[in-house]
Amino acid sequence: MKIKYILPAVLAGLLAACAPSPENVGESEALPPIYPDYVGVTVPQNIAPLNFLLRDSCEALYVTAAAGGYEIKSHKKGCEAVFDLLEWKKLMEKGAGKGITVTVTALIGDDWIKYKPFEVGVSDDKIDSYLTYRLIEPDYEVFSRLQIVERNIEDFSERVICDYNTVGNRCMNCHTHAPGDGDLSFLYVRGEGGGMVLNDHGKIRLLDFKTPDMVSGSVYAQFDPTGRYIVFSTNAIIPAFHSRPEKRLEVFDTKSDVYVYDLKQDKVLRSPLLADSTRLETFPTFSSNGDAIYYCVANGPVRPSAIDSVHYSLCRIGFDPKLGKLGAKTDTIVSGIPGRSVSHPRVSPDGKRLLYTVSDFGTFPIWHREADLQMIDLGSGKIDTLQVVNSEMSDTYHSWSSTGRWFVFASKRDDGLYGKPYFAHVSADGKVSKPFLLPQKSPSFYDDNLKSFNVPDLGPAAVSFMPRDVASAISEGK
Amino acid sequence: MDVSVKNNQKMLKRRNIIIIVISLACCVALAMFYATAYRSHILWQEQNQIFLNTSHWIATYFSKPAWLGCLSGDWLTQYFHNPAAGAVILTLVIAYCTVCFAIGVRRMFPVTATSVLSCLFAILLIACSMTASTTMSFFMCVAGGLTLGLARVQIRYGKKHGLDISPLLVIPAYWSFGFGALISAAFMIAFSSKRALQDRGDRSLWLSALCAAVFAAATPAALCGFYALPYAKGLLYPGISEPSFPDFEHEERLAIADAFFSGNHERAKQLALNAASPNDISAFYYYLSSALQDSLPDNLLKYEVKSLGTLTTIGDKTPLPVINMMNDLYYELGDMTYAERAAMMRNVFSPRNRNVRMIRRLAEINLVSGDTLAALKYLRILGRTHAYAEWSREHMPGKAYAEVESEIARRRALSNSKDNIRLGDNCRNILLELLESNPKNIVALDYLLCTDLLLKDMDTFKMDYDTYCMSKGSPRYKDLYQEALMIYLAGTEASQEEWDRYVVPGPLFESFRRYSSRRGDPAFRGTYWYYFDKQ
Repeated sequence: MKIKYILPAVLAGLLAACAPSPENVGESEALPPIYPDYVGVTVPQNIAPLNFLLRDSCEALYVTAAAGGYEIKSHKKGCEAVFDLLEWKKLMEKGAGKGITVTVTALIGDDWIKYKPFEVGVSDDKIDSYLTYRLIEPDYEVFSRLQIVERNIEDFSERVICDYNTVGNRCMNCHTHAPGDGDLSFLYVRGEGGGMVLNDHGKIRLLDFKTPDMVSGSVYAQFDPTGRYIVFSTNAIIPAFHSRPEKRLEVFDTKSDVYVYDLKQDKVLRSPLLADSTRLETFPTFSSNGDAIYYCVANGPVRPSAIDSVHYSLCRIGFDPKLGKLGAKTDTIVSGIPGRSVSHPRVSPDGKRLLYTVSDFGTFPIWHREADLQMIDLGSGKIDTLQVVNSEMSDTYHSWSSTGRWFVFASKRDDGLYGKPYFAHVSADGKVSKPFLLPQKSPSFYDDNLKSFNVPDLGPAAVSFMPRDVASAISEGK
Repeated sequence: MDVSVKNNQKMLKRRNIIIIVISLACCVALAMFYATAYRSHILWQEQNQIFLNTSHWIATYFSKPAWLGCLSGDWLTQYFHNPAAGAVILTLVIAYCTVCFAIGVRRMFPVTATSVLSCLFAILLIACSMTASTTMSFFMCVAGGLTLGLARVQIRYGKKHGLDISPLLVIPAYWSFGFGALISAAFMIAFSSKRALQDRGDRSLWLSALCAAVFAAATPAALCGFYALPYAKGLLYPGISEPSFPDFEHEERLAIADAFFSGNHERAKQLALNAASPNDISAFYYYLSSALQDSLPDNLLKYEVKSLGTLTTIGDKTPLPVINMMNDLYYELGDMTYAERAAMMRNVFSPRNRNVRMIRRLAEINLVSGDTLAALKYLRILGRTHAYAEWSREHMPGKAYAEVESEIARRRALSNSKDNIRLGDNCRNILLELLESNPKNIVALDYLLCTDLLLKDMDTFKMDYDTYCMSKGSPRYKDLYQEALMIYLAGTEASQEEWDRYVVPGPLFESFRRYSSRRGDPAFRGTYWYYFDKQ
């Protein structure tokens, strides 16, 4: 046996030897109060170990996870269950398409208590292996020391792809993959000389397609399926605060328009239907085959005192990718009404479904506690309110896995302040499962963490650029 | 043994004893200085950071160079919660650095030169400790770099030719102590150069010096991509402190803010009154302490600097003490939205984007606003610290002490119950919203009226007084407000009925009659009439 296997085994043995073993175990009918909540969730078979902690003051924890006659365990002092990565991978193979059973036994005071075992569904459908997100404090008004990070969700490795140290502590945001292409992506570095930074398979360049008539540089943008076009909105954004402390921040647009940028011809495509000065067009995204653009629109002008009367509708306009032409008419897919303002539409890769956020009003759902995800079947028009997915807090900033079987979204369900990446499975017939939180090596990671995982985005492969490449593109203005 | 040799040894022994005694006396004096004259600086170090006793937190230090210097520095800083302990720790670390330096330098220079250089080095370190932004990480990186440099000097001392791989030590020195590697390399270069000059036939010594220099420059260059650091920043990571003279003005401001934060409002007031250089910060805490003692109108004109904070806005260019002030102001007024905003902002601009004082404040804010999940988040973090675990337990929702619950309920009654959209930090609007929610919020009322009076905006003052005092049936009889009302009534030629309604007959009214015939007379300094006319 190789040393790399012996050493962890010896260490695990030593740790287990230090932890007391269960004896005279009493049984409880209650499910274990674990965090993150992995009870009854469905996970992809290529996910990293679901390490968790018990929200009880326990002395030791003995946890087994079993599938198909194979069992792994975590036996440690304290309240944390941490599984070995290699054993976990084997367990996932055994449980794929079925599930695993997790049994938690805790030493609380002088008594061992065995909680009711729970199931974790393991889907055959794999999820894209890479997740990118910005780490930022939840008060978006100010920032310092921002990073955009890429995490391999099959294990716990992560690397910084854009770092405050190399771009002069500037604002950066929204790393977005092209559909199905892990190494075609863009991100923004804001401030003077900044803009959209395009990563074309490791070649980094700064894009400057702002024209004087645009209200701002691009703010919300998405690739088309071929990677040739980028549809984007320009927004005049106003940050504001609610006087009620639990509502905290409000952000709204006073102007916004939508355009398309042709990367091949270095040309901006326009339509008066998407740049109507009396309306606010925003959150554009391409359909899965690139023949239409979905976007949100509300009537202007917006008065701060009447922000709660601004409701965005979901609309669609045709697009001819061969000719680079926008359609001559628009269709309303979901009407914006009081209590239902639509934002962040995202079409599934198979083109069957569209996922979007609804909030009571406005355009910044991450600070709206009532913000929920909904999914519309583009064939039948039937809306799924995704009750199994949504929470009492904000659920938004979603993106699809390239297979269309998973989506990730940022949820503030744990504390109302810090957005964290949750993943939900969508079966072939559109049934959505209970979401689960991105696992971390240390189960107490999220308790200590004071950053939001902002705009999580899934990609099938790792991007091939480094922070210094972004810095070079910015400093050279290329 | 020869008598002269014995005498020499005796003299050496005596000299060493004298040096040790003087050094110890200097250490004691330095520790006393830190613990008394620079106490708030020491405490500020601890308040401006946080250290969590968790494996995950410790693992985060490996994401940048100087992990050992930063980890040990932050770990030691958590004990600065007790400034006396902090003073001793800081003194011992400076003493350790000086001793390492002296031993290393002694291998190259005679006693007199070593003594002079060591004294200068100690003075340099002490001067660096006077700068508010200096952290213990800086000192631990210096100590680590010196230790590795000294280790190399000691190992090679007395050895002749041969392969010298010790310059390789610079690589782990950089990994562990960041810029401390430069100190290690400097020791190696100086030692090897000195030996090479003595032993001219040994080229390997020059090669050794060259290697140390190359490794010191090349290691950060090789690793800056991995650590995502520009070269210049990576070379000097975690940062070099600048030496300065003791900043007693800053110490004074910190002491006032500390006294206020700890709830000792009377002490904060006294420190502000006795400040050698009154400024916006001392004035701010003087007024806020007065307001909490229901005496803001009584004291508004007693402090030479006028700074209520109600006209202050904060942003990413705002000095940190001002952000702290705004956090304290809004928390005491009852506006939890802006108290939280200032606390978040203060965290963002702290080392590693968090500091323990603001984490504690965020827990308090969310307890007051009833956001239990958010409060738990911060209380759990505090529960993993050395100094605040007990405080965290005392404040746990559902398990909090009775006095804690009652204080939370008191503050909750003052906070905003209505929702509005605010586009900026216009304090007047905030005060009006607070008074709409709770007209008995006397602190907000006094801040509103006193701001009007400092601006000499008598119409607005009268309107606010009418809205929140007269129409509520609770006129606020304070001399300041009476004096201001007399100005307004006289200026608008109000009817007798109006005078009777607003002004209480008595000596103050008689005094106003006298002032009216002697406007601007310094004998009336201290009245609002004099302030209105002359200041």
